[in-house]
Amino acid sequence: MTLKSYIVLAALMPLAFTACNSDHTSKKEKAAAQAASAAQQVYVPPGKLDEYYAILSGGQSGGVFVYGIPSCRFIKEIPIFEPRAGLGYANNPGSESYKRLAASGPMWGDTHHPVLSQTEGRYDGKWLWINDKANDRVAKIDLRTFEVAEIKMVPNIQGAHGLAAYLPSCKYVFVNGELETDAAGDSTDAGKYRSLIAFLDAQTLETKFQVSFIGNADIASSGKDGRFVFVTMYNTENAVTSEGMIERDRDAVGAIDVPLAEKALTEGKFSKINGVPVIESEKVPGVLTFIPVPKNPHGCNVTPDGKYVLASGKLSPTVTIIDAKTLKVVAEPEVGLGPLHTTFDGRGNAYTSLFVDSQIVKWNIDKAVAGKGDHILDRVDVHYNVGHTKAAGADTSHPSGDWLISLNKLSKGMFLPVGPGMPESQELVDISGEKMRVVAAFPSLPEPHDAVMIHRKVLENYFVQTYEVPPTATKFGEEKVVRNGNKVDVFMTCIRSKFVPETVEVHEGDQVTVHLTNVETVRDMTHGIAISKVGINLAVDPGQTAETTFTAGKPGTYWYYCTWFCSALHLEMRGRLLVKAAGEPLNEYIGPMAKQNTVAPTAKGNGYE
Amino acid sequence: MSNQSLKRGLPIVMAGVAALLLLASLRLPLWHMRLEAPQYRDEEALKIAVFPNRYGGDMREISVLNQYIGVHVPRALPQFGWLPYLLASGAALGLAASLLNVRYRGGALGIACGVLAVGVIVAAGQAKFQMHNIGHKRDQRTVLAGVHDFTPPFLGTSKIAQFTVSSSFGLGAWLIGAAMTLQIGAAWASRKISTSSAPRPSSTRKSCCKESFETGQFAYQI
Repeated sequence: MTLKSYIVLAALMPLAFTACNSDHTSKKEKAAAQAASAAQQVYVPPGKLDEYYAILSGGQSGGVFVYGIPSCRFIKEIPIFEPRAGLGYANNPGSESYKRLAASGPMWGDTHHPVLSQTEGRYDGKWLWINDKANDRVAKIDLRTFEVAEIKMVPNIQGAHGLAAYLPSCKYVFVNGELETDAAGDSTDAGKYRSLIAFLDAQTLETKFQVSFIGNADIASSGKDGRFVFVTMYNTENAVTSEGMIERDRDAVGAIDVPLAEKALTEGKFSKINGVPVIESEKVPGVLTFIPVPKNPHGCNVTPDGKYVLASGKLSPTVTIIDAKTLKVVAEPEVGLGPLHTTFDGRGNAYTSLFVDSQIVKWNIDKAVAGKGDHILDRVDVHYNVGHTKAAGADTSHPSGDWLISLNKLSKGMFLPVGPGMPESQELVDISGEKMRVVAAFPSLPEPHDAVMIHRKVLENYFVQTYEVPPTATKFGEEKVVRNGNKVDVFMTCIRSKFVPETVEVHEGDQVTVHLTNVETVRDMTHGIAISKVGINLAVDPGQTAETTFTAGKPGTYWYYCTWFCSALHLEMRGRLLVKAAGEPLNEYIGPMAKQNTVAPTAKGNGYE
Repeated sequence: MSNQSLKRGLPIVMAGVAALLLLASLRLPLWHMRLEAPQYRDEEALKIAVFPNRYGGDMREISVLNQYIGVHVPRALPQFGWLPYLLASGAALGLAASLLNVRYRGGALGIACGVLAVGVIVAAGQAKFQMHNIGHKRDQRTVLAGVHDFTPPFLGTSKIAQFTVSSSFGLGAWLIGAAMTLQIGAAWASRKISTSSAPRPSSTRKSCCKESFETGQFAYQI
């Protein structure tokens, strides 16, 4: 190299650095611009409402979580199969919610698949159903109040897993027994095991009939025309070890002909197990058709137009596309490693979660059926190991095609570290354009399995903002203490900032039932009552009544106080439970304090405002 | 110290350092494999290290993942049984050879190095065969369909299922390489001492080396 060339090189060096630097800066700027636009998409200013409710199953937390989309703000937990003292749910023996839950089974559950009711192929905003895999129950949530309306145990099955509503009528919800047993004979001989799919009255949750077969049933989806419902079956081997369950190269999607099953019922082609009519599939040809698919399929999803049912391959990198009428396999496109669930945008595209690849893959259904290999449209990384994925309205005939939730199994450093136990991770993906965009991630308690998204406009007309007070509820000014031997019923009201009565006297060992009615008439004015050292907390929303029963302990003073901060006099909102020794005279509650000191509330307001 | 004694001492020092490096390599990884996937990123990438006598790294996690891919990873490699002895003997032989009379020293060092070289080549050959088996002798029952048979890269990077797999030599391998180079160097230096102490008539140092090389006397050093 000559001196001259050194000089030229030296002169060019800064230029090269600048070029590298500006390239670096433009990359940085691009990332910042992308982040800003994503932030704008999910930003919902204070006071403004989200577009969608995302209702996520709570898995082993036993309830469901409600988030706002697109802000990903956590709004509410609805406890279902597990008591939640803070909300006064099923934690007080003697309360209705406690009695209902205890009567249905254990005080804990494992919720997996939230299902929304539909009318004419659209969400109607009335009901949400959800399964409890651990204790074989199904619950119904009333979307007017976002509270549990019904819980029933499903007889004869174990591992109540896949759940779906029978479309288009929604007269049944059906639930798969994933874990095989001998329901008929209680035998422990695996050779006698069968699985059952249970059809429940969607309103009462009574099990109307079941279809039994050899193998198991995993995830469920309904055809749209009232004929078939579909389930994936990963253990057609009827094996009891994980090695055995993956032995066969092909397992199946099961198609149940519901009208044919109903006909079999009217013709008496069933046997009864624990009082439930059970149709043995072998005895009614056509009631259950096995459609072979690659081994150990998982997700089962009917396309919005009802044309196809898609079985996601799990151990096979494919999704099997089955004609929902002829039950013939029409295509088996490759999508990636570990496909678990598929959801839809209403524009003919499918979105499949890839557990192993940690990706959502977007592909076109018609192109896949045509089989030219050009069906993959886009892939996006999610963090990490996605299970279910669900786009807004994907279970209906009219998905909205704007948002998709990726429900990931591992968060691994996505959020601030909080010790070895890490939160669950969900991601919000914008699917409105050609390319998918992950725009937000949000944590949750363990462990959402599946989600449904419903537009707030659907629910707008159904909401109850304050409870309608039933005629039997204690009215303001009519509070009383009723004694019957050692049973004491306290009919109490609460309103800012007083419990009435403020003093209750009982004897040691009395069985005390408190019926607490919130007589507020404005929304969001929840009160609670905690009774010191008794372990009781109730919560009542305006217009609501809740009960609790307990045995009065040793003599003394037990203060009760309001647990929901309600007013400037919240701390003064308290009263005394006076427990006296047996035989000691009691001061009877002499009458409504309201009548003596205050003005009774009118429909529009009350004396304490 | 005279120039002559420095020359005589140099091969011993070189063989000594080579022996130390070989002994150090017993405790160091010979070879690394790094597996990256979306959920195994950056510092959470999975790592396998192969030491002369054992595996190291995330073997348990790998075996868990193998339930999916059905990878055939032997519990132990046959090399683990003899590679440590080979390295230790290479060190001892080299050092002993450097202490021999200057006339035999070069040849003996060459033999020590040759033994090492043959051993290392056999070990690497076995490893290549084992790596082929990893991706081909898979458990067909647990196999995640759609993953085709594969051979992990011996050196370099390739894609296996959801993983980007990169392999490289470990510090131990580099130390063994350095030790062998030192032994060759020591042999070379010993030749120089023996030729300078008994110079052949009419041959310069340069032509001597050339001649020796051409006659194949140094072939074992290559």
